Amino acid sequence: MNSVFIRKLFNYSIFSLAVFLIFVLVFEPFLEFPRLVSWIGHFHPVILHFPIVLILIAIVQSWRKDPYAEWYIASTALLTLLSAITGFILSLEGGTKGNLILLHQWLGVTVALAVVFWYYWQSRLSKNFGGVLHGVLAALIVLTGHYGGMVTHGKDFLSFSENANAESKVLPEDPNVYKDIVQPIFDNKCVACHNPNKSKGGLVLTDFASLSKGGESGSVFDRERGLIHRLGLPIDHEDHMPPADEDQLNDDELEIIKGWFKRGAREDLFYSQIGSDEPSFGIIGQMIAQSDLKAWNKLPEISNDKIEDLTSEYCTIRRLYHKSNALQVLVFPHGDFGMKDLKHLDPIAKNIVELKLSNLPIGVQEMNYIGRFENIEWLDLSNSSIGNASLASLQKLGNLEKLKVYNTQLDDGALAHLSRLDRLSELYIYGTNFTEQGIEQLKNAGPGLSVIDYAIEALQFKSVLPPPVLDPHRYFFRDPFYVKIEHPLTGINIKYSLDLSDPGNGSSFAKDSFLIDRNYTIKYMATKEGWESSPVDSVRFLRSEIEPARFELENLPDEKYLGTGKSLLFDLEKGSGDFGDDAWMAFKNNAFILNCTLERETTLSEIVLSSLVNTDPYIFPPSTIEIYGGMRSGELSKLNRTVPEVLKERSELHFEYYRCKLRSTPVKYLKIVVKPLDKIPVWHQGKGERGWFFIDEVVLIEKEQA
Amino acid sequence: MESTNKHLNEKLNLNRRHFFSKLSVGLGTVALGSLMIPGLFQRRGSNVAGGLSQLGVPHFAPKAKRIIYLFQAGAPSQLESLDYKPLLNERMGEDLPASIRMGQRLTGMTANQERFPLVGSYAGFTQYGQSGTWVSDYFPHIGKIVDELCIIKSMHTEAINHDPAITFFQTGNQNSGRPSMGAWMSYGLGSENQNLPAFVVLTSRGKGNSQGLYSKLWSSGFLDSKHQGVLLRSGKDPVLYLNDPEGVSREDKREMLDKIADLNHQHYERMHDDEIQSRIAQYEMAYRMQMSVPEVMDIKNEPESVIKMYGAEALIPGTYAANCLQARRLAENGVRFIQLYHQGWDQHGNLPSEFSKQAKDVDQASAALVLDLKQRGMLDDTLVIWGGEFGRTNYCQGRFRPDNYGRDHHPRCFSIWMAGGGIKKGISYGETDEFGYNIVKDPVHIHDFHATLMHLMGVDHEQLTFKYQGRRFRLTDVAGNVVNGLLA
Repeated sequence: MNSVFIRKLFNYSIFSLAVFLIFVLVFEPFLEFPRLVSWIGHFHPVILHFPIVLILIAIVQSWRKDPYAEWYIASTALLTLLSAITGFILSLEGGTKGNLILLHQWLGVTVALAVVFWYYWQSRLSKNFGGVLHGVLAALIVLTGHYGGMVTHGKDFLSFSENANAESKVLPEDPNVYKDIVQPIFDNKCVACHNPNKSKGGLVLTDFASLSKGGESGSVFDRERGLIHRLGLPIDHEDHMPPADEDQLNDDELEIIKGWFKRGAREDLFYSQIGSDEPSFGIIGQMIAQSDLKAWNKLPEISNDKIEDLTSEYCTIRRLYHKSNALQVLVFPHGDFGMKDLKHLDPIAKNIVELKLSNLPIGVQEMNYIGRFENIEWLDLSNSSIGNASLASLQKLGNLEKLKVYNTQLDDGALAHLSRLDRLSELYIYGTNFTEQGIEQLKNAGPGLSVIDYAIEALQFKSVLPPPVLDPHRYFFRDPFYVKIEHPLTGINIKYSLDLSDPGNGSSFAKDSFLIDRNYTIKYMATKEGWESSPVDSVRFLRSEIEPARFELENLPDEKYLGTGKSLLFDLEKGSGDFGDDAWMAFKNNAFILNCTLERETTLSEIVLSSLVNTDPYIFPPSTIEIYGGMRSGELSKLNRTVPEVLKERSELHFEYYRCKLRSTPVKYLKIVVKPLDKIPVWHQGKGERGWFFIDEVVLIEKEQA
Repeated sequence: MESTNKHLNEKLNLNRRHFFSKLSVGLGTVALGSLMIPGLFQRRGSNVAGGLSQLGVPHFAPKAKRIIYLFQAGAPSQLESLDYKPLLNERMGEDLPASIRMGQRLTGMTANQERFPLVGSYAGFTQYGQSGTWVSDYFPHIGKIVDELCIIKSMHTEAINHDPAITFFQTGNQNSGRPSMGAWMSYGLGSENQNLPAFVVLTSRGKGNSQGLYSKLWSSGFLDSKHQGVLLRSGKDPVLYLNDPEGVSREDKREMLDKIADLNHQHYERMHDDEIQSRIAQYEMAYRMQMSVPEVMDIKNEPESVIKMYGAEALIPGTYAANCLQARRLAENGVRFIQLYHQGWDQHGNLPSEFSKQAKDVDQASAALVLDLKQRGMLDDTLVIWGGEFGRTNYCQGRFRPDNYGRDHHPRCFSIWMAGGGIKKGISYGETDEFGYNIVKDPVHIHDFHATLMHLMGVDHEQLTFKYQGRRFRLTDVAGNVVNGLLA
């Protein structure tokens, strides 16, 4: 390799990297980096040390007229560019760039491009201009490094102040607006000029008492000339604060201070007292949320691989959010849960912020182990086998904020352990054995603790029992059968009657089952202490004694409601309230005409047509029902004509049985003709149209032999 | 299959050629080249914009970890539930003023009506809670928990018919084919429990007039099919085809699955189709669900006090109350998105009687669910949503009678409520005019609703994307703003 080739290589590399750097800066909003490139960004903290040193060396060496100065400059240019590019890539990871990062970025870019310029023009630079360039470069690299240091180590890393750590202070859940929010703003932006040592305008803003005293120009609270007035003036106004050349308050800080003043600028104002519609409410809320995250930022680093390793079918481990080292761990019940499952979590012990161990056998030993997970804020031990004694270990969890122990065997013996948890703010204990006094004691344990024992509102809910169910749930039968009355709840009193009377006054159902051998109507209901009694339900049992040997329909049912065909008429199956089901057939334009041939000559006493009425979907009682019978198929005489009453008003879905009594004529052939309603009455929206006739069963009842 | 595979390979080759040709030019251009092919170093499927966030982890700290969506299919009338408009009762039967309607489009069902008689709520309204919120007397239990709720009275949509409207709500688009909200959540946030699906669907049906529900509403669209919603049915077979045939032991099943997985892996090596991996994962999930689902769905250990709270109907599988109880149990067990549908809210006629039955189905159980979550400390991180796909007109459809009337579809304003999971409580958001026809303050579009939901779940709705047919899709597609006024 000769030096010409190497020089060429340097020339091309430096040129292409410079072009690339400019490209990414210009097209930043449109860029999307693959993971590998993002990863390159992580080398920025390593590479950046080279340019700092190399620039200084290159400057010195070029002044000393070192024959190799050219190569120093070349490597400087290359590494400065790489440093700038990796830095840029790294900066994309952080989301929106802050001012510091932007400043650092543009300084870095300037350094990089200046070095490139130096590299290409080194031979053509006049001595004076070269000197200026070197001076500027040296100054720029120091500045860039300084701001870079601030980005990584925090703004206050190099500043010498007692309040250096004020920013990273964790806010309480319900901060005091003055002490926790407003004063830190003063500390940041005002106190430099308004402290006991240097009190410009006689005003001191270091504490509430001095603030209330005001300054030479009067009270801070003065509406005309006070603090709010001064903060709100245009920046070039003489009285504007902070002075134009000082760090200004941002919009959020202004809103917070305005909000605090609107609420009387009281020292004892708490966040929770601010109305949610006030602008400062949202801003402070954000600050609280951020502050929580800050605490999580201190958790030890944990890798995705580690998380994946420890995750199993029964143990879910997740970051609370992107890149957070705070982990949520959910352990689900499985057959052999034990200490090993907890020990398994040891590598992430300090990262666990949420832990769910509900429905698991948790004893003293397990709880003791949980004490190692010192950063737990949220612990779910509900439905577990936890006992009073094991709660002693909770002492070790100094960050515990939310504890769920509902549906456990805990009782007043646990009070001592529970009332000593300083940061605990929510405690869920319904379904435990605490006494009322115990709960009262917990509720008084501290102002910050809310104890949730039972949703009070739910106690006011009145609940109506569902009616009992019959098993089997049958309406039509041929052979006598046994029926049971059952209810899904235990401890139910089932009442029933067989004589159409109110079952509430009837007898209680105590038998296992009873025999249905006649045409009963059974009414039944359920009652239970503490519940509203169920509505009365009823079933009418109809004994269908005869199935004809043959039967034919002269007209097919409407094609929308064919059901399972004509066989449904004698299948002993009742259709449901959903008239679209297969147990129903329906007629509208054609009459229902059924021809039956009985096996033998029979004297019938009654024919029942099982039907349904629901006027909303146009299902009405039919116009007429006519029954013909005789001994020969051609010579039938009319045995009955029934005209159901025309409905005068809307009728909701209900079953209807049309009972047609017959004269005691022996018959072998039967013809049943039902004409659907031809004109819906005027009160209905479908007035004048035809109504539907639905039928699911025909019951032939033989005359009882004397 | 063969052709898509070929196509896929060609694309890969093209990228690789592209890559190498750039490599030869120099270091700077390599990086440039990789910028032009962002997917070059990425696994297919990790489509999150910027490659800076990780699928399965929220973008930022979430307020809600799971959602229970009590969807009221058919569109319950806001005027009989949450949006109190006494003016309609005062001006009962008068024509809707043209100045209010402003010539806006109506559905074909009422567009030809000669008159548009205003009709007020048949049920009265009562003020509840510290917030003094008006809630209709059809919902006495919801009234009792009103201080837990955030009522949005200014929802609006473009869809005017049921199916497009529900599809819009569920997928962010009126046309079918996009992934459902729950599928997006499953894709973006993953499951909390490896033994249950992240997205579960439960359906029930009231006695009111109802419209169809199709499984496309819980489809995963172009996302990996493992994100599809799993419908849990009532009865002894909660998931169809999940149980083993008679005589197959759990061990046999295990062995069979291992063998099938081997074959599938071989197939995957040849085809590189991600759906194969997905299928392997689904077999495993089904195997675990054989144990976990019956366990979750068995309510025999629920104490009577809980049953009483939800109402005794909770004992009858397949009812809305039973589904609400199931929803809580699923939430406790780490299901990310629980979608309930209750059908029967399409009251074009007979509104007073049908509506009262529908309300009775859902009133107590919905309120109980909110309170049950509260007493378990789960309301903080569970978002409960109750609402339909659009609203109903303030005028009567069909024959007008003060005690029996109907209402047509009305997309221009409707009301829903939300509770828990980072939502402000005890507030009403948005307003409609006094006729209840147009929104006059703080409208919330479905896209905004989606953006807000995702925000609560810790997801930036603009960042969670999936590339399909050449472009990136989101649940909110190219719209949607987080509604800050709803956030606690």
